[in-house]
Amino acid sequence: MDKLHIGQHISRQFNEELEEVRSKVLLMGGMVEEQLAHAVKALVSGKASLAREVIESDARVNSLEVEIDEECTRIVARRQPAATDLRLVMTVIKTINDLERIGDEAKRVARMSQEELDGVLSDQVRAELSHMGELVRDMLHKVLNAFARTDVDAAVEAVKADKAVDRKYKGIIKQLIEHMSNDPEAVPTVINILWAARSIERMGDRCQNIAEYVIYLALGMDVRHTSLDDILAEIEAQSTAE
Amino acid sequence: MTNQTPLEFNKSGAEQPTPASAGEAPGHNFAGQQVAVSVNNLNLYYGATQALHDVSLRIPEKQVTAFIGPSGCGKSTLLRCFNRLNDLIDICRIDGEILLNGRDIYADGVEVAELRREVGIVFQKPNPFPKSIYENVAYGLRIQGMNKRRQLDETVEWALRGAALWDEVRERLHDSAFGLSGGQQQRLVIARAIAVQPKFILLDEPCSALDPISTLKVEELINELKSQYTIIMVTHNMQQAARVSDYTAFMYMGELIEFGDTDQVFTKPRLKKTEDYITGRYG
Repeated sequence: MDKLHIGQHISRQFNEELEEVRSKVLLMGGMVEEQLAHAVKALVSGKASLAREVIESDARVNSLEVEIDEECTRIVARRQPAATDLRLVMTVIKTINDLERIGDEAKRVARMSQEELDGVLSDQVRAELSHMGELVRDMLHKVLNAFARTDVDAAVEAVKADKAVDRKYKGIIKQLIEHMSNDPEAVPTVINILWAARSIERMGDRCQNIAEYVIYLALGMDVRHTSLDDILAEIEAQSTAE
Repeated sequence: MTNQTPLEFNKSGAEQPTPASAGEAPGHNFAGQQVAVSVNNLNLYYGATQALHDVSLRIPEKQVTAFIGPSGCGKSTLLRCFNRLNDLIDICRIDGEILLNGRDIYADGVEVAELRREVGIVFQKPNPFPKSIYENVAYGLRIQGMNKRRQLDETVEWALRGAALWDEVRERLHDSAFGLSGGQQQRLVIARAIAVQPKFILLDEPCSALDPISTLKVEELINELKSQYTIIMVTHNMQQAARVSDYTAFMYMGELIEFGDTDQVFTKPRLKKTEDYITGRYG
């Protein structure tokens, strides 16, 4: 589905350049999605090889970010894109920044997993972290699909999903605080787990950013720093105006 | 020289911009600016061929408005209605209404020569007269009866400064205008247009024969002139419209398709036809 009508430029080369950039973003997104999944799995299972994989793949994600960034600069310089083309390029530049940061957070989680967490990480917290990781991964998957299809509804779903991640995060923090007050000896380790939980929560925020860029791409509406209710109201207002 | 002319319209009678008919941005109030030009249901025919179809739009005062659209879309034809240049074409016939500062310029009793003094025009190809630089600018002033040497000198200098050309020509005012570069000639023509203190400046692809640096100089000049004049330009160069205009009108096949704030038109056009044109898609 090509809601942006990328393939309709008179310049076929321009079509190809935009398509290329778009598919590279999806490739980068896929890599980051895998990093995220592996990092959380490494955290809850303690599997060292997964953690190493995440850390090693970071360089590839970084270089892809630089490559896409350069292509966007070239497109701006040579094509002077306007309207949806311009919004696509702007969206790509911002999206890859957030994807790269999600990769960084995954790396951080992977590093934490290499610490000695046994004895402190209860089965319950393990399950909660694993669940939060799944929520965030699902969110990332949704926003990448929303980007690929310029799908506003999917983007809104992703924004909504971040609320569940935030609730989960608060629940985990509460449990970890309890743990610390019961067992002061464990504080340094619990703080590590807390950092990991925070990284996963931050990944959710980054996914929400990307979802907001997709809404901008599709509708030309800047919904950053806007509450979900206001976003929905604005989308509604725009669709009735048209 | 007197500023009082038959076309010195009554400002208090000028209408406030109103949100708009078909082609205009809904609810657009031009940020409190006055409407300088109102076009109402304009149809224009060359013989049996209709070149403009029911065009209505409001152009704000002291802003730059650009008309864009493919060749043959009617943008130059529309521009040339504003100083009745189309009158010179025998087979051209119009109906509808064009108000400049609230006054119908096609009404009986409008002096076309006076109208054209109020509404200067600059064409694609610089067209200086075969005279000196000085005489090119003084030409319109002399026609208006200005003949005192000092007054002429002052006005010529003022106009050349206004057209950002003075520093380049002050030492050779009495040399032939043909010795100037294309870009300088175009700025000379603009100086000639502003010397008679028009209210409106029409620019019909003013930079299409100029190199990029001369183009930038003319664009810079347009930006300076808009504090005093209402500027309406036709351009084939969309990036130029994006760079210099405050408002953009997109025309297609004789119709006004979309009119709006230039920022809006170039980032988020309302209509697919506009989108396809400015992004270079085949619609």
